[in-house]
Amino acid sequence: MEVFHNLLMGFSIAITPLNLLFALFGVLAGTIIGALPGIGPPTGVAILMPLTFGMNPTTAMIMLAGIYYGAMYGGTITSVLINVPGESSSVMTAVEGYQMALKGRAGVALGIATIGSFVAGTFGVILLTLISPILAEFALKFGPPQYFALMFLGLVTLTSLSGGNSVKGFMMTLIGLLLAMVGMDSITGRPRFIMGNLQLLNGFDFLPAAMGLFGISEVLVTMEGPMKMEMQKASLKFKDVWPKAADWAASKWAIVRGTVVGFAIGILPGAGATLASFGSYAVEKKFSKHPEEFGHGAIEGVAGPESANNSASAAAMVPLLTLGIPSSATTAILMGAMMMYGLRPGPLLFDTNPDLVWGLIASMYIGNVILVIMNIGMIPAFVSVLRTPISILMPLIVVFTLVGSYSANNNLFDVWVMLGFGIAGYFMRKFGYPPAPIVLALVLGSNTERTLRQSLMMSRGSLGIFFSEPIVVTLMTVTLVILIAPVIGMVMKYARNRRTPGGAQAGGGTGEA
Amino acid sequence: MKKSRFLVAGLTLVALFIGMFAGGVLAKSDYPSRPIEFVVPFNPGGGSDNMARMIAAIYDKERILPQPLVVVNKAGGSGSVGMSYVQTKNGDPYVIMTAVPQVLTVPLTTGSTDVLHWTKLTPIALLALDEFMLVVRYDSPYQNVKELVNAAKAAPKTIKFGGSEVGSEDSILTDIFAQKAGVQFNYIPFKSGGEVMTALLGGHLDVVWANPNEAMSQMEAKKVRVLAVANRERLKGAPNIPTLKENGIDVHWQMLRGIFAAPGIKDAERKVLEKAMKKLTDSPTWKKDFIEANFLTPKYMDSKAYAQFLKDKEAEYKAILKNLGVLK
Repeated sequence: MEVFHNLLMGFSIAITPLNLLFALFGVLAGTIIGALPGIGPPTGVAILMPLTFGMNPTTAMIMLAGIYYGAMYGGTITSVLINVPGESSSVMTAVEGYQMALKGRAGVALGIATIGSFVAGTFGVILLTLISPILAEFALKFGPPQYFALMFLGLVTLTSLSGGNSVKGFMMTLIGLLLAMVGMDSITGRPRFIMGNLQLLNGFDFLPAAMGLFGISEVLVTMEGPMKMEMQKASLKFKDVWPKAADWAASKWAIVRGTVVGFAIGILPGAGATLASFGSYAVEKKFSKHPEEFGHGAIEGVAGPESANNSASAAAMVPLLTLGIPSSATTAILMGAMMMYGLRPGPLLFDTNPDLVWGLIASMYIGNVILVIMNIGMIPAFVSVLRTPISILMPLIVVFTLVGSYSANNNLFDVWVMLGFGIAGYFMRKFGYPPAPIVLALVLGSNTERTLRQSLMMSRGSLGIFFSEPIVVTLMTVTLVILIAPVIGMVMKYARNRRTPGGAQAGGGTGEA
Repeated sequence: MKKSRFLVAGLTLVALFIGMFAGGVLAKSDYPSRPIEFVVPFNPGGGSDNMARMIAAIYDKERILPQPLVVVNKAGGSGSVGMSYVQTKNGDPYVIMTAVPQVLTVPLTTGSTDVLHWTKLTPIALLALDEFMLVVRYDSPYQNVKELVNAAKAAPKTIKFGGSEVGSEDSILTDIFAQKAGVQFNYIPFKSGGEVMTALLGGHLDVVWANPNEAMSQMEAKKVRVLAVANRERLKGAPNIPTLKENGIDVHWQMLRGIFAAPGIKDAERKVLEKAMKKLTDSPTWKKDFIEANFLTPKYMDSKAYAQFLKDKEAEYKAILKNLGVLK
């Protein structure tokens, strides 16, 4: 088959010592960048791009792409160890992974995440190799109405993220949506709710919000307890930190589902790895036999999203290579880099530069192998971070979040936003309000609003556009079912409670709908 | 033992800081004596960011200045966050930024011209002008401008026209185009050029504006058709594409790409930067890898001419935005 011929040619390019060296350098740099809060893959690629000038374009692209998918591995580390997401697609990992770490299962979380990342990353590259033109055509079917339906589905399903009280979850989602409205209205180009503060023109970035709500609030809550100079006495022997058979059994389907969900979402321009990881988390919670464990260290909640963000990063290469359309901030920079090397990214790239495209694809197989070996080898070292006494670890978290929120946009205002969310997060924890829905609404809010308004402009005001075509009909139907089912459940429960006087108040326990 | 080591480290740091500051103060005469911060008021990956990184690379390669340009992204508020940052650096010749039309339009549309304005910066040079192309899908029923205009006349407000947010250049240009052609479109705003092109290719839009670097590769692959370029003359790099003027619609619109420095810098420092930018635009690498590769029109203007150009453009935008109802 021609594909295999091409792939073999790609491998013959990717395994030259120089290209191997730069693949190694790229994934190593990516892992570090992924682990550093605030510096996400887009910034990392942009910072390291000047190193590649004068290089052969294929070698340069191999290195830059390595940074991108390497960061998906690295983002897990700080999420699990100190509850500070290294980059946006690891927010859900912070929710479950950190809880696992508190129970002395940090190594298990990291191990599962690494293997899941490898499986998903490799699967993503296989799809990229075999059927990218078909996939690209599918991705183009997503216009504003389809995106709105997808985001709406995401918001509705993920509101039950809270684990406990779904009313509180919905409240947090709504607050998040309100916060997401602050800033420039992307339809009319006018400022909203900025109260004369130009810093607010860009709205609330969700990364400082996530760092505050997860990281700082964690520090504040811990400060209330006794500050013992005691360390966690976890064994660092490999066989003690490595996932056990039971962990594998619990995660294997989560990895598979995460891979598929991640790829499907990642291929859509504009959706990306962050949405993919949220999507996978929601799917895991729905499929789980014990949804009550979510929020308290459910291993599927790490395995799924971490797999999803990796297959999404491979999927994001599909529109870039086959259509010349950047689907995320990182692929936009990769595209800019290609133009600087004198290449013309576009639908003809496979024909005009087969050596670059196939060399790059082949290097992604190799890069994933390097990453899995490297990350597994380092797990004991990472876990040893947890042996740091709390009285040192907590200030370190503060430093990480302060530097991270500043360096994301080099903007001091973001630091204040982060601290504000940290204080809010503290009180939310005290009163049992889940922070994740706020973060999610900040991620999805402005896109949800914009695609809704775009759709209605396209249809000139008719809601019929949301029931006009198979993809959008399917998504809307699923959403409406999910939305209505708990209401029916609540009504029935209420009716039952009235029949049996003294029954518990309605409203609780519908989170798993 | 441990303590003394900390002491030594601390003292070294202090010495380093003093050295840095002293260096900055003493070396004012031979500007630039340290790296220059090159602010991009947008995220990595956009046109403004690509240009800044290209400039920094050429400066480095051809030693245009003795010190490097360090690209720093300060995104937010359609460029206003980066712009207000540079505004605060009064008299500091070590901060420059890229300029695009948002520098003019955002203060107008947000009603914040009193705090945020290009006159609060030092214009250094205009480097190039970017083009706007009228683009449809390859299999579109509209094979030329005339067919598009006729269809729009037959069914007003139904043709879905894509571009960036209302008040941006895309939307301003759409209104001018519609006005001159005597038609009305259904304008759908998007967040970025990439999203607009994706929606066009997916069949969700009928016609869009795109910069040549977005449109040309799609055109070569026969995915899209470029109906016209919004210029009075045909582009050198694409002589087969007709102009809007040839189609009887006299619309001429280009997007500025220039450089600002912090306000209040010395004349001598401004001249150094001006000269460096001139050198850049004369460089063959710039001409080939940036201008030609992106189908731009090279257009150098020095500080004075550029300031006048901005003044004229601002008046033009103001009139148009008022006409559109964006400004009162």
